[in-house]
Amino acid sequence: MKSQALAANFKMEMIDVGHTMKLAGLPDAFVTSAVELAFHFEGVYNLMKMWDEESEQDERDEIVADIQGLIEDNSQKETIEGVYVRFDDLDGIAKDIRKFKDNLRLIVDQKGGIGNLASLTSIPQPSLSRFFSSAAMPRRITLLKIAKALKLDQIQIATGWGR
Amino acid sequence: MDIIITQWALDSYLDLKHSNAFTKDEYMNQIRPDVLLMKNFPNDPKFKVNNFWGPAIGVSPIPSGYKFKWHNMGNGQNQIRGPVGVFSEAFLCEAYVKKNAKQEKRKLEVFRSHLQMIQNGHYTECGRLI
Repeated sequence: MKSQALAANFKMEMIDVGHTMKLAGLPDAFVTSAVELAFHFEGVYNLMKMWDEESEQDERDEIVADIQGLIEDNSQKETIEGVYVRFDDLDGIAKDIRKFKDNLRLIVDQKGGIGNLASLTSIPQPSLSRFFSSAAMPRRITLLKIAKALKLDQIQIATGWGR
Repeated sequence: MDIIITQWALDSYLDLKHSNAFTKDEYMNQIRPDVLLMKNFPNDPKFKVNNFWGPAIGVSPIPSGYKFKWHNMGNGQNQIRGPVGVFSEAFLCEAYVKKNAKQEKRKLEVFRSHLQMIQNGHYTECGRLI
């Protein structure tokens, strides 16, 4: 992390990057959370700088999705005992998760698509695109935001593999 | 040394397995036995082999951060990297297929942040490799 003596400069630097992110159309909730996280996490600080210096939009989108993932990770404030999975079960679980996300994606598309979902949830679009394309276990916090935004019931967001 | 599987590791293994980044044989005969070497870290001579094991370096070196390097996996073209945080226990974090230097730097900065969360006690443990 930057030294204490540089703390003010370092924070101003992040606020400037945050301002650029806002001008680039990223949601206010994302930008404020990202800047705040960068004050405490050197990795996020570095990702914010990398976003600012990056010229390719695809790479910028990946950085935004990474930062959003870290914002969600940072909402956990304890050590949790998660689900143990045997190697032989990985494929089956990945298929279950894909099926769940594909079904949810159909509902999202019927309700205006990912762009609309991004503006309703304040989750950046690149992050939602990654969510729907990966076989990773969905975070409950993300599922709840999607359910609230699209007025879905508990059954529609029920998965045995949320975290 | 105990080897802890974090949620970040499990999620990345789900994605890598689903995309056939490595085969079951490769997992059973290479990846898993290699990771189990962490039990005797750093005594196994493989930890001195640069194209197998090295420090994790993003924008700058990551304290307590290392990575396994597995070459030509899956279809023979995947370069898989497995970041590990080494404290009193070894924490397996998100593995990935290395595509280019820019992507790897980004992945490792996420890893740096996850190590900080682990040190703060804010992580999910999905079992231990035995």
